Amino acid sequence: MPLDFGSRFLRGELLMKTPLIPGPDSHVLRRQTLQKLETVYRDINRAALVNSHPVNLEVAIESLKGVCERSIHTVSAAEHDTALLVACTDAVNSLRSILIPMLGMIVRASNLRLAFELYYPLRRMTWALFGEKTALLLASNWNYYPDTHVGHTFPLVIIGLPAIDSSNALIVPLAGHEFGHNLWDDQGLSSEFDSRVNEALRQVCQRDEAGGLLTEMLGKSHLEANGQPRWDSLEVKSFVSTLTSVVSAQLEEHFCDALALRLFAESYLKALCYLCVPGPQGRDDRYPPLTDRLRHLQQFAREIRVDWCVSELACTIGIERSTVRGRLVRLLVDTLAPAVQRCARRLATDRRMPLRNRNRVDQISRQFRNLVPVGGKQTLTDIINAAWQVSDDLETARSLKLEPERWRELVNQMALKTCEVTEYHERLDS
Amino acid sequence: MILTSATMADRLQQSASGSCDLQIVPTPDLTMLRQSASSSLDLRLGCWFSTFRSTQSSHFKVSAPAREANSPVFAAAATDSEKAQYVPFGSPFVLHPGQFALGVTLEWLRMPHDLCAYVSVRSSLSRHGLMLATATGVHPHFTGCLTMELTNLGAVPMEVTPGMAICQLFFHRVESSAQESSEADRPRISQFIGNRRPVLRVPMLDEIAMKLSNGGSTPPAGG
Repeated sequence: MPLDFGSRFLRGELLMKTPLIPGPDSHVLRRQTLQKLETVYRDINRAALVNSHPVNLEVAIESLKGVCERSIHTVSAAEHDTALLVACTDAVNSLRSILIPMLGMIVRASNLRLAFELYYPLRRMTWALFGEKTALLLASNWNYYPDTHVGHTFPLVIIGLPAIDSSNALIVPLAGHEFGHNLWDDQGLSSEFDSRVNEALRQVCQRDEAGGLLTEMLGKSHLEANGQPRWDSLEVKSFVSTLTSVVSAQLEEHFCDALALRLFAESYLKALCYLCVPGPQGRDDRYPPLTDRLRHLQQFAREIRVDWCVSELACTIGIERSTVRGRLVRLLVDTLAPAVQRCARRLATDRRMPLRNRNRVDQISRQFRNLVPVGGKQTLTDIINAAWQVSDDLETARSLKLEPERWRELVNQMALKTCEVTEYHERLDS
Repeated sequence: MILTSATMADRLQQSASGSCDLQIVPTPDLTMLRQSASSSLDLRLGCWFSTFRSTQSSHFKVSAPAREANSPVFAAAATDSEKAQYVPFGSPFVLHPGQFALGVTLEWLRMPHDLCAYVSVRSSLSRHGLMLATATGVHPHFTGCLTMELTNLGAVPMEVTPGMAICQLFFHRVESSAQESSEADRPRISQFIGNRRPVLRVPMLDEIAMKLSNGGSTPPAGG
């Protein structure tokens, strides 16, 4: 058992005899690192004892315990100073980037501010996108934006919705964007599009579409006489590598937007504007500006026949002046964005993700206006689209003498109840 | 007059065709309801519960002046001891002897203008010590899930599960004036409606109670 190493350490069996590491003695370093890991390990066990126990929590807990046990084992078993230093560094990195953030997610997954009714329909989506029985952990997240944890450390999809809005069904389409990050990773699209970015850059250079941008960025010494970059020079290679990673990161965001729009139709646009307008400032250039996201979404919305319901103001607010590199990045992203959108659409269609059904949305809206949730089985997409439609209808709120906030809350309650009733019917039929 | 199960089924069927009549979601099996030949309708237990925990407050003020009770700070403090719990389908909720908890019906009701209802616990459960607040009335125009006050008066812990039939509704017809009937389709909104979770509100002192409380401090005129 990995924990035996910890107790063996406490008994002094594993102490280093000749400390060689500068700073704290090696045995102090080992003890302190193990102490941190074991504190987290205890907290992970404690997180399993919560009263409101969301499904799949145990999958997250077991995999996190596995990561923690492996770190304890490695630190306890390191036999010489160099190995110990590497093990402790890895352990601290793991604490910082995986163990503590994930423990936070697990603790917040049972927080009652969450609308647990959303869990079942979102899990259905997870199964359709990533395969039957894929585990989903839905948590609230103390960030302004939703979040996800992508990687192969955990055998589950983890979605964190903003804590302030985590009981608000209207923002659930943003989970569609987070599903996109998981799908991008799951399908290995990063490597596929890296090579396409490279190819696109060469084509842009050949057609001289980049104009003076390359000269401005690389300087004449890295260009051939015909204006083409010296592709085999180290500087150009490093420049291309950085550029590729930035363009690829932006394409991933456009892919996620396209997937969310395909999954949630108009409601995604409304949820995105609710959270992101006015646009986020100060994000690094791996993240596309909101105006670019909306421009590409508008184009994709036309293709998949989703009504464009974003105001002009939202599309123009916060336009930032681009740097030279930013202009080149935009040129490449614009070239490849339609391809990532097509890819998102194809993946969603292959997985038979339901499309928004206008008739069903209208029927649900009518029922919500009568202050009653809808019986039978409904798709999450139709429910949320209807909820947005009705919550924007302040005329009905006025006729009921309700303040807009109370009306929106009432609509939220009906939307969540409709999700629960769908679960009820699906369970009866299974 | 109490409605028979056949009449309830008829009215539920009418609402399915779009009229603003009695609506219950999820809708009960109408064929079974007709066949039951009873005068009540079973409702199921929902997934949300509220229990109460110890706090630093010395007591709970059961009534407050309306102005005070409506303030968000007062309301938050008064419901501070409430602890919500979500129990998914298939998981149990254990009610310990003497424990008091709030539960909610799985069904969302919309009452028409001419019906009211009374809720009572199913006798098979009450015989084991499960009590619901007696004779809880559901008024015309109510819409939402019903909050139930659950207490285990038995000597052993009792396990209840979301989705189980827990209480029954007896529907009564309400006599209404012509004017009331003409406004029948318009739902009336109160603070208790439109909730899917148990509702805990601060009881308010009404105008008469306020006057009775303050009356002694001002001597009557001319006295």
